[in-house]
Amino acid sequence: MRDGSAARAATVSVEPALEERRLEKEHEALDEQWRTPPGFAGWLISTDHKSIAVRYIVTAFSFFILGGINAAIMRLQLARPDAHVVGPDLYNQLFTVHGSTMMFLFAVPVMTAFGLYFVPLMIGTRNVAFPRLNNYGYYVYLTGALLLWGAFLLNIGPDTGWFSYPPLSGPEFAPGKRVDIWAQMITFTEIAALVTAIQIIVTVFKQRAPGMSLGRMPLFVWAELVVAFMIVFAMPAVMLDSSYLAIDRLIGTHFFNPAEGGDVLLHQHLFWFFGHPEVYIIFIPALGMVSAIVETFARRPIFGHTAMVLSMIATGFVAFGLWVHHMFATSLPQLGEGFFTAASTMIAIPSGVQIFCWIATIWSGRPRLRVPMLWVIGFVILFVIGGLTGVMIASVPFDLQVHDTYFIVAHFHYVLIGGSVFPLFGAFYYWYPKLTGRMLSETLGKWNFWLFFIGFNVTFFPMHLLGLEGMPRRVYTYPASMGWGELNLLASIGAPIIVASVVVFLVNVWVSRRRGALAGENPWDAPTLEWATSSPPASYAFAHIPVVHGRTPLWDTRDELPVVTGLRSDCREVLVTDLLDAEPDHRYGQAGPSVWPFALAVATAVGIIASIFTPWGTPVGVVLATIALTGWVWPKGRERRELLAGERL
Amino acid sequence: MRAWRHGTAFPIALVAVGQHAQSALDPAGPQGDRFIGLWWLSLAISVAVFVLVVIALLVAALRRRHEPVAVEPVVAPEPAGERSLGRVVNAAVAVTVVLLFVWLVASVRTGRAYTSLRAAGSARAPVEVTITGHQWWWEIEYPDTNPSLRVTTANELHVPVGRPVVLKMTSTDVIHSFWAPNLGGKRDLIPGHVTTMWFQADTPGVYRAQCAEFCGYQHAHMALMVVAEPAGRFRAWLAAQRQPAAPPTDSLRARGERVFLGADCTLCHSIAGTPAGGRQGPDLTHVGSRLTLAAGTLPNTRRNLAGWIVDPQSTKPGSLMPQNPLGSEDLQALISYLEGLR
Amino acid sequence: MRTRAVLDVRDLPEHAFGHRAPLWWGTVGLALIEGTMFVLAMASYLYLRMDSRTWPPIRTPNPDLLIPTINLVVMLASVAPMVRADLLSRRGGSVGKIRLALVLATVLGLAALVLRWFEFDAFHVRWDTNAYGSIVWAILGLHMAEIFASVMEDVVFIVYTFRFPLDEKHRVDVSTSAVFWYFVVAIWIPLYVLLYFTPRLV
Repeated sequence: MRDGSAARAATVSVEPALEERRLEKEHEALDEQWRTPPGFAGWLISTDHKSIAVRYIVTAFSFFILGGINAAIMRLQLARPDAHVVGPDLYNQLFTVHGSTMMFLFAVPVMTAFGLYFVPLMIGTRNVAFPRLNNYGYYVYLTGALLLWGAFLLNIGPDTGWFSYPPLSGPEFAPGKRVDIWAQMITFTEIAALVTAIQIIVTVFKQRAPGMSLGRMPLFVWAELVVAFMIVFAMPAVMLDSSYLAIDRLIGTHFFNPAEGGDVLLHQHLFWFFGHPEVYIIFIPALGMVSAIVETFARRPIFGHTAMVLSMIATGFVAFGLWVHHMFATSLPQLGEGFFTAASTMIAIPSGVQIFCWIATIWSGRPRLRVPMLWVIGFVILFVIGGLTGVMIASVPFDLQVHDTYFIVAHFHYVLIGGSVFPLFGAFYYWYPKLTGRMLSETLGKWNFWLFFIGFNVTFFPMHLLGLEGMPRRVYTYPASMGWGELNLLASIGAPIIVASVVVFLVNVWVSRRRGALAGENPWDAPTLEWATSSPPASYAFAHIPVVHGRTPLWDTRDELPVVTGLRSDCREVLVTDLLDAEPDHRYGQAGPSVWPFALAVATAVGIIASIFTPWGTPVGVVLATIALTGWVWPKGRERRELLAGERL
Repeated sequence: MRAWRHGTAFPIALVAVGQHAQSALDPAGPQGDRFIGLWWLSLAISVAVFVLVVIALLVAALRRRHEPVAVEPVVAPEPAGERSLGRVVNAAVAVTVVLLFVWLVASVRTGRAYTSLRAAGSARAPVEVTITGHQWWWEIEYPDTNPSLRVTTANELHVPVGRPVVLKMTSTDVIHSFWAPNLGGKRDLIPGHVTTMWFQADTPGVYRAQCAEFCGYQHAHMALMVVAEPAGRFRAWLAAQRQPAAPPTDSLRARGERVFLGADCTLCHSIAGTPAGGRQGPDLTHVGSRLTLAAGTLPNTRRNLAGWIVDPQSTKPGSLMPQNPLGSEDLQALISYLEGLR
Repeated sequence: MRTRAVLDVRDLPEHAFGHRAPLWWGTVGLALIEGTMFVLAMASYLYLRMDSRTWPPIRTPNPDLLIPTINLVVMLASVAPMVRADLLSRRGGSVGKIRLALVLATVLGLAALVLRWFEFDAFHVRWDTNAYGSIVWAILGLHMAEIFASVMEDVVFIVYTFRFPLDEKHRVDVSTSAVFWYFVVAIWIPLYVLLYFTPRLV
């Protein structure tokens, strides 16, 4: 670091009152540059990663509730044998839309949205690397979500399961537009996920605060980085796959038509090459959240920081070697089976390493059992169960019995709800003060936790047994003579307990928004940089970019934060640093709010939705997108004036 | 042997022939047995691991519980403590690796045992059966080099006990999956592919099997019965199935045959020995001998048969079988005819 | 929290080229995404091939070589002006020279698009004839879209240089767009070998 210039900056502070006024003016100038215009227009053109991330979180959570309502209706139908609450057509739509919603509209977006909000703050920068792209991503995601749910509410929702195997989803056995809607919903959400992934990778690589070498990065940032790379390598598979399916249906290609040389298993390979990493894309950010919470509430730096990082990276790699374990029942060569069994078993090791490190951290710290910590403890208990059943089904002979049964339904809900939703709730309680400036109620938080924990186990634990007793998944009803009635009824009793828990959560969020205790900058005395900003953070986040000397910057320097000076406050300037050691490299003026990302999202929507009905949708979309992109990059307003002024000089 | 737990008319009828609950925990063959071994091993390991982890977690979280202060001081880790902590964590990881390795070996050994049935079975003249999946029923064929000895039936798989069976399976529409939990494992039926599955039933009885891969509207009602019986009875059954349908001997059944041949039934169904040769639906040559109707959905009783013929959509909405509004006398004659096809 | 200034960055430059620039990393990320997609498309091609006794399938002749090979040469040639535009941008070369290089690259890119149109005919199969037709049309089409996007980006740059001065920021943009162009051409080499030579050789 350039120590010569540091001396010059340090001499600034002379008279406190004068200094304070100067700072105030500086903050005003920064806010002038960074704030989003108010009102509806601001909503359309915003480039603030915080407001976009909050929109993502609120939208994703709304779809969590909608997907949950689907699940509740399914539990109502299955509570009794031979029930007639819903028929097979609606039931098939219910579980397809439930699965697609939870995976594509809730889990992935909410996990990356937490990254979009907190990664820039935790690494000490003012915005993500491509702020306009961020806004585009959100609107593309929203369109995909509305497409799926609009169709479902019109009773033309997809009904072939969240992995839509052809030929069931092909042109012959799924006439109408239901599957096309599913395939294009995938296109929308994957574009959004890819945009977010690039965003996170580049922001983490190039905009870390000076001194935050890769080795000093918080574990949550590591988690988001690993996941961003996984998205880059996994999502193209499902985009390609859903495109094959869409054009098989639209223009008569034969990718999945065995009569003309196609192969239905090609879909399964491509889908699960994405689908298995997808599970870890949802799960790894949760690991980062758990690490952040454990560190703060155990009151000590995480034990085994490096081992944790390596574990997450290892998980990310091995996740791409497991896809075939979803296809054991399709008859594979034996050698392949052995490889995939071994890989599926060994992925338990990095998860084990992390669990042991958290326990070691808690053991040797001075743990405070606040609400975020309760969710973490619930997470470990449930995730260990889900992980153990995961190891069971890695075995081919074991999986051939329980594959496609309620045992699997139980397993993946333990992994996804226990492994991801529990940490997510914990993270929400942990970071809500930063998002809003107010604390959530601890009492309601405890109700929220215990109702969820009990309701979850009552609902999903019996499903293990149901699967072993022969109940396949995705059946809309079952005969009384099968003897599955009691356990199903028990599972259905758990559902309203979960609903009650979520209602308590919503009440807590609603009430605390106005009446919660004021949080201040750092209510938990946490060690990472997001807690060095005000709560909620100012539009520019940091008036001065911090300088980092360790892994727990706010614990390392308690009295005053070392910072950078010299960034311009008359434009949206961020500090670009180098990849490995975060040495300052250059300053970079970012683009401000613009309506063109929204226009591009509209062009994308027109193109993709039109493609459901006609092959001309694609060329029309391309033309519109070209216009929107040109508008996006074309200099306007201040940039135009400055460019032309520069020419005259 | 565990009978169906809920006594309605249906199970009682089937208990008579040794009906088993559809469950992986009630094995009736070498593969089902192997699975049970694997299941208990994994359960034992899992319970032990779970208990140890949860105890460690709870002790860690609760052991220093005391009056909360406003802000707990931060603990600075000391090198000696960290080292001993490191040793414990390393040991835990090592135990994990060992346990996973044990599991892997157990899994591979079980997989081998599954395969050995295939190897041994090939030598012992296995019973070969071809299964074709349809939305939403199973077409079952016993092939023979002599075409007149081939047997085609539906939704009921008869096998001799103690002898390996090899299923050669495919589908003509969407993907289905054959799963008989008591007999072990499942295998997909995939259009454009032929998959094989080996199994053996050691205990005589009736085992329910069900489609496990989501296949559309009536995935829930696509079951079949595996009837495992002593070799002699199996041979007798096969011989009977090879016969064409016996012509009706009384006037009621003769009228029933006329109803059948005169209505739309023949577009989809075959009855060997009559002009009916449709291939869309199940072969009905010996429908009267079967335990169930509509792919394991209803017990094969006179009343159910009538209901099914007149209004299949109320039992199995979305089924490809249309409603057949028949006059009462025609219906009774038809049912008598079909019941007599044994 | 009180702050203490320890580092002044006002002397740092406002732009940087190559891997120092965030935009460069964004472009590399895009290439990584598209590259993964093409690798998976190649895997699909080989997977479908496993199902067919002959390849191309029966009654479909081998693809022609002439136009596809000319097109490959055109695409490889287009890299030269792009490298020039890239280097000129980095070294502060004149707008005129940069524009000329971009025009040349665009002309070659447009030629590649036209030739690609005829390249579809080289396979003697339609997308809806069989799975072979489907996958080769898909690969050609996907790659055609990449060429189209690169050419459009170039056209926008050319029009820009007539209207505005080429400041440092836009020089970085030109230099970065060249990275994607290199990727589009480079990825075609394995695809070319796969589509035109593996049916003949293996």
